[in-house]
Amino acid sequence: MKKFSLSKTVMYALISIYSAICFIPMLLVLMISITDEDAVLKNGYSLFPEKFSLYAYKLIFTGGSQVMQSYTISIFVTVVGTLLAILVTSMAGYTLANKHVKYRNLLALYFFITMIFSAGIVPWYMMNRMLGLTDNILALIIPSLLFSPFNLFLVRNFMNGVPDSLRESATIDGANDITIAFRIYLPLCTPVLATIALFYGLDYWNNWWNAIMLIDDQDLYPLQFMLLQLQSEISMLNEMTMLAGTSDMTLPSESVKMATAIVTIGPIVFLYPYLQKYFVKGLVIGSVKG
Amino acid sequence: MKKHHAFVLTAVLALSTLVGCGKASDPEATGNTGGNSSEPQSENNEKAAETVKIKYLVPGTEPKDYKEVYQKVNEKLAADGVGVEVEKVYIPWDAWDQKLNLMLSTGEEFDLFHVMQDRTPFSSYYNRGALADISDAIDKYGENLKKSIPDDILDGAKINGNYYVVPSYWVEMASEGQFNIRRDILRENNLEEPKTPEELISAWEVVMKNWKGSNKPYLGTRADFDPIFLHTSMLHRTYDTFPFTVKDKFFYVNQNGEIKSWIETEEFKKDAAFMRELYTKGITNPDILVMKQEQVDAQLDSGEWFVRLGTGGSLNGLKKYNPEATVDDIGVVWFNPEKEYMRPLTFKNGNAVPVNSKNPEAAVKFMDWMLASQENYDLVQYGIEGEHYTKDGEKGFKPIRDPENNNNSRYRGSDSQNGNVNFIRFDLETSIPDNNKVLFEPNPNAINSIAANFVFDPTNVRTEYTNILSEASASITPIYMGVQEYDKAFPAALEKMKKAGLEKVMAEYQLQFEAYQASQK
Repeated sequence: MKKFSLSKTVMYALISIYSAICFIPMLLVLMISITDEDAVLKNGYSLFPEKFSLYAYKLIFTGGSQVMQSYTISIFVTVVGTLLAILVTSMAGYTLANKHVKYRNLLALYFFITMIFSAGIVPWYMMNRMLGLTDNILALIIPSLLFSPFNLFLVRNFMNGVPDSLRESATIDGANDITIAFRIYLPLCTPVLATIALFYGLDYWNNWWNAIMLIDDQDLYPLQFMLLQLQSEISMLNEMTMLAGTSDMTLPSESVKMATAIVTIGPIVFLYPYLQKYFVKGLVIGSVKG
Repeated sequence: MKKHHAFVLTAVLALSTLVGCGKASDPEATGNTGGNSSEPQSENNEKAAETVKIKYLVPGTEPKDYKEVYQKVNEKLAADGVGVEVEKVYIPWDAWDQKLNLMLSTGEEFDLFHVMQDRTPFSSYYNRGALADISDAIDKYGENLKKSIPDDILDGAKINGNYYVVPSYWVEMASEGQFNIRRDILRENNLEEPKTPEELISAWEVVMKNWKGSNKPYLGTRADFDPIFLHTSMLHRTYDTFPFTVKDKFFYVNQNGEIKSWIETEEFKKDAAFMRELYTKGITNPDILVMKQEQVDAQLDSGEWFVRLGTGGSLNGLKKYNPEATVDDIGVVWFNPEKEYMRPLTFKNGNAVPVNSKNPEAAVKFMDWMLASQENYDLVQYGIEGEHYTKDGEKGFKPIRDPENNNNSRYRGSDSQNGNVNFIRFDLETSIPDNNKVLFEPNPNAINSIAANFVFDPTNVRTEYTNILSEASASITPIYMGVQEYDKAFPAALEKMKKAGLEKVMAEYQLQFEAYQASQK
């Protein structure tokens, strides 16, 4: 029989309260998304809506092919972008972790300095235009390929922890750097790669900046951008209803904002439980040796 | 050997980046699909030389049937021998300012873009050297523009005697100074249409007392201290000092060219007194200082309103409160209708040609072609007849709604971007006739404010201007909206405004306005 423990009971209670505090806003977002717009504006946000309505979801999905098209683009960009980003980051991390590479610390500084200083939007935009990264799918992938020197830092630090004797014995056996990287180091770095995969995946999924700046073709709009555009269009139409006859219907605004949040986090909510353990591990990666 | 391989690989990587740079000098490879084509690359050089393709940037979302409609537009342009083909590029509202600035700064190729005076006036683009001088193009190809846009409005598009923007004459700016009232509610309460602010308050008190709906018909608006934004300019017609206007929130300007700090005028005090009376009598929404635009629109849409400053409302909204309502149940009221009708500014929207465009004439030709006939205008603004709309008499139209498009038409042009009051059509079933008349019928007797075409450039006093904007939102708005009493709150508020730099901004405005007036002589 388990002994009653006051401290455990208190801990469980506190954790339950904290979990509820984290969960209730999410539930509120869901409830607002299925509340009638007039009820929201009259009564405010409520977990128990006065009147239910799926109009906001209908508005979002009535785009039909646009929403599906945007979902397809987002999924493609996230998967391909994440894979390419992992490849680029892991290769860069391998190089910086290789003690035989001359000036590797200087090279690392070259990467990390971009965390502090940035050239700004204009050079970024000009560079993407010059590389032909406008109005095509690559414009959504390549500009964000090495977004985050922080991820590079994680990979490098993890690889620093791999014993150098492995490289030496592989070299003696005739392996070149590519073989060593792909067949020895990367399999050992699965935890950090899974971590950065999650980080990159989230970044690519949530990214709308590249679309706003580099994409004019509607067929290439990713989901986040499509929904951002829907929301800003609703705001503008509502402002323009001061003119008689320009709009004879109310477009739901509060409920649409919440419905867009639900639609966009859907895939991440489903994936996260599987990648959670890597996320937690990733937070402490590089800090504990052995 | 390994070092040799590494060296070769490095050289290949380095060269590949140079190849990328090399591609940049070839315009075809930049991925810029629109833009100027004065150096055509297609096989049919003769055809390409005759037809110039222009890229036109506008804010908003591409309509579902944009491609279909613009194919027809381009076919008609070709049939009419204009020699122009148009590609419209829609940039989302949220990204408009940033992306447009980026495209202008990086010299990206496009030929026409929309200008919103209340967002970024065209003079601001001019000051950056971003606009092309289109005077010659307008003189040669702007016959219909000159016919459809009054001279004094076209004059507003000039700087130093040259044209830099084509104004959109889509709303009669002399519509400023009126308000909407519910005639059905007046009848319900046996009231007459008020002719003075005092009568308005009395009528409103009666309506509030007898109201049967679930939400009181408060004055609902977003809080501000700008009478043009709020349309409290309706009160100004009752003052002996009318006509005058308030420009850019802070500057009182009368027709003698006198400039004063708006918040320090007697007229501001009178406005605040009126608003205070509304507030103390429970007519103003108690949450007026925090009302959001969505709440204001929701009130309009619910039909539970009595007076709206400016224009607004729709038949659908009216019927929610009063199922028997008709489009004539919203009336327009002017206090002192015998006085002048003044335009505080000549135009709100326009279209400009960027300085790096290679086809400014083609851009002007397209703008001119749109106003060459009702048929051209209808195609651009309403789409394909029978597919997107049907005509309803001479001035009306009925949108053909698509249930799969959320019951909206699959194509609709923008009145504010390309509209013209001489050609505009109305949805006669749902739009409000009185509002249509005041907004969209030219008023040949209207006068322009002496400062209508003057645009203030706050660059020299940017810090102070920003500071007084912030301070006014905090200190002046509650006084103007009647939440705080003028006599008690104003002295301290004025002190704060002066500390924020009000006097410096006033001095700069005075200086620039005098220079503007001197240039007009």
